[in-house]
Amino acid sequence: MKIYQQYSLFGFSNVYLVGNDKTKEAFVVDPAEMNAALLGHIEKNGYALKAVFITHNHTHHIRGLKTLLKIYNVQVFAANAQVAGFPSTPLRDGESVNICGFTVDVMSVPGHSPDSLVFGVDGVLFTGDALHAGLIGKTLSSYNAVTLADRIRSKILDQADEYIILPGHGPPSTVGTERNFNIGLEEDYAKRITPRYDFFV
Amino acid sequence: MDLAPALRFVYPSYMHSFQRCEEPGCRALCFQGSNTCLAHHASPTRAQASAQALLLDEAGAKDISAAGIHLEGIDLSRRKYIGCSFIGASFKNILFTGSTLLLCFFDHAKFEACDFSGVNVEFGSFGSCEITNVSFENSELIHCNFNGATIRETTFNGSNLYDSRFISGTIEGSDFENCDLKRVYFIPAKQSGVSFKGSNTMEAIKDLEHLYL
Repeated sequence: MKIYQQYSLFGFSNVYLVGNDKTKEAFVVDPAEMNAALLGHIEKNGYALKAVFITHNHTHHIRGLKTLLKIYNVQVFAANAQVAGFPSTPLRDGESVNICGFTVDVMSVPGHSPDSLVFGVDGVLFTGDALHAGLIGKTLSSYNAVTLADRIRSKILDQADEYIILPGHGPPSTVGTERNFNIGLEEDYAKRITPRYDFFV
Repeated sequence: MDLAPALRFVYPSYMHSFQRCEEPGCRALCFQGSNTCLAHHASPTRAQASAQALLLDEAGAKDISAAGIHLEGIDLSRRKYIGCSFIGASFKNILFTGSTLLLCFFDHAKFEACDFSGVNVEFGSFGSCEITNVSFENSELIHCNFNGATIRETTFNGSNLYDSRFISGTIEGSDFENCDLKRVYFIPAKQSGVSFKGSNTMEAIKDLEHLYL
């Protein structure tokens, strides 16, 4: 597996290109931005882009989808049947998708948004905004914060310590580090936060 | 808006293998070139020497799985490491001066008296590391995760820490002077004797009220 990470200044989001050098196929996770650099990496490696996986339907993670779909004929996978006006294949919790020579495991982790999905590929977890390094995703209520933390504990933290977390924002992490040092997973976190919408992106 | 940084932040990375140790009940990752982890390796000394030789290659290394390796007194300066795992490793008196580390994972590792000055670490993880008497001076530490790390007697002076995180860890007797702390999450559980002289602390995020995720 070969992974490219691209930092998009629009929403400070991470875009990931996951390539298989054996099959020369690739997919994108959260196309926040589709620019010449990402396009260059797809083309220079001779990848046939097969799919786009959307962790959740927030603008700063899908802004590049329209451009990407103008260039490539790919299948879009998300929680809903439509993303930004484009048809997508709905995914459900526990499903697996075999694509590009990889098996992509789908985990539903709502809380940050109702449609939040986490994708697991060969020991790497693309967590979107559900889980970041040291934090959980922003929620609009303490109820959602508790729900999100519960889902993270049951679906993500039961993975091996060495599994890698590649979030939608910020630096990467590992399951072991998040299990021990994530503020959002502390018992009283929901009581400590005050939902604020002005910084919400 | 200057788009140059966005174009720079594209990291080609081969990820290290996630093959599990063959030993029944062991969930650790296989060591480089082996079907077992380092602890269950038939000849751990030889395995470490083999991995060390790969790391010493002047061209650098990609996709190395060196979890648990112990390195002491070697010069790894001016090399390029991409997509390597050093989870649970220990480093003593190691020079990483001027090296480039992209998408490398050092979680649970121990660093003692190491020199990372002038290093370029991008999109890396030092989560829950023990970092003692280490220099990260004049470095690029961009999108780096230091969450849960215990950092003592360490200097980050003159470094760019853009979008890095220091959450839930312990930082004692360390300096972050003349640093760029833009979008740095600085919420350690314990902090004492830390100097931020000359750094743009107003651009760092220091409490939960100002998270913007």
